[in-house]
Amino acid sequence: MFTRVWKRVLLTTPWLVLYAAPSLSGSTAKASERHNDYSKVTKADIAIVQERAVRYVVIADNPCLTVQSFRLGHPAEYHREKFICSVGGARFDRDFALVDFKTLDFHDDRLDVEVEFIPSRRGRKAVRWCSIALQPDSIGDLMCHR
Amino acid sequence: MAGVQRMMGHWVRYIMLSGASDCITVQIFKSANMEGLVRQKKICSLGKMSFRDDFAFVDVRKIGFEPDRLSLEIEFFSLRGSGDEVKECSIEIGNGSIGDLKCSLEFGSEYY
Repeated sequence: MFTRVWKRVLLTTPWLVLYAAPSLSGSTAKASERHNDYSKVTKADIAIVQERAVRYVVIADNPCLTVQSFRLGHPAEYHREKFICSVGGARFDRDFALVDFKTLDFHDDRLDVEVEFIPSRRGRKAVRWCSIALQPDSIGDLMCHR
Repeated sequence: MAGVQRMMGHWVRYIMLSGASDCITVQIFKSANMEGLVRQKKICSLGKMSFRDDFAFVDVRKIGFEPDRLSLEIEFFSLRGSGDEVKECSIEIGNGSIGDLKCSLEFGSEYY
């Protein structure tokens, strides 16, 4: 959701809100080994972080969290794109029955994510507070606190 | 922005593509994987007032899920003058139905 600071930028830079449209309305993402079916988006939002426009996308039937960053003024090109499909060495599609990204919140230097992990075998489900570091030229890994 | 939640046995999704469209899209699906579309509605106005033609700018700041409706925080910028108002609004969700946008906005002598 937009903060007050974000909204002011939003009102004065119309391109910034325009670029979200093609991808979310179903066109294919930039060529990459992974393909997102944007018709199945279940959560998405965007904010300006560290002089980049950063967007997260959660997609049904896709175990990964997609994080994309764009240079301000270059709305059509991903500057960075990262598919977050694991935590530590554990893969979401192989080592858990379900990984649910419950809430996602942008901060000045990171994306905080509340994640529910449901194990595929024995064990109890666990809700963890995690974060992804966001720098102008990098998108970090998912790091979770115990 | 986009969000999904289970409501009354269905899955309700909102999509707001600011700039590309002046509308809020609300969809009801049978299943969690966004298949089996039951109903879809594009909400582009508040009563008779078009987002595109009757306001300078409409900023949907928050959308949340309640048991029987979507709750929205929307900032309306009027066409004339420099006034803007932040309003709490809602869209009723029924069993396979999507209501209109309702806000407590006073615009001229009419309430919507």
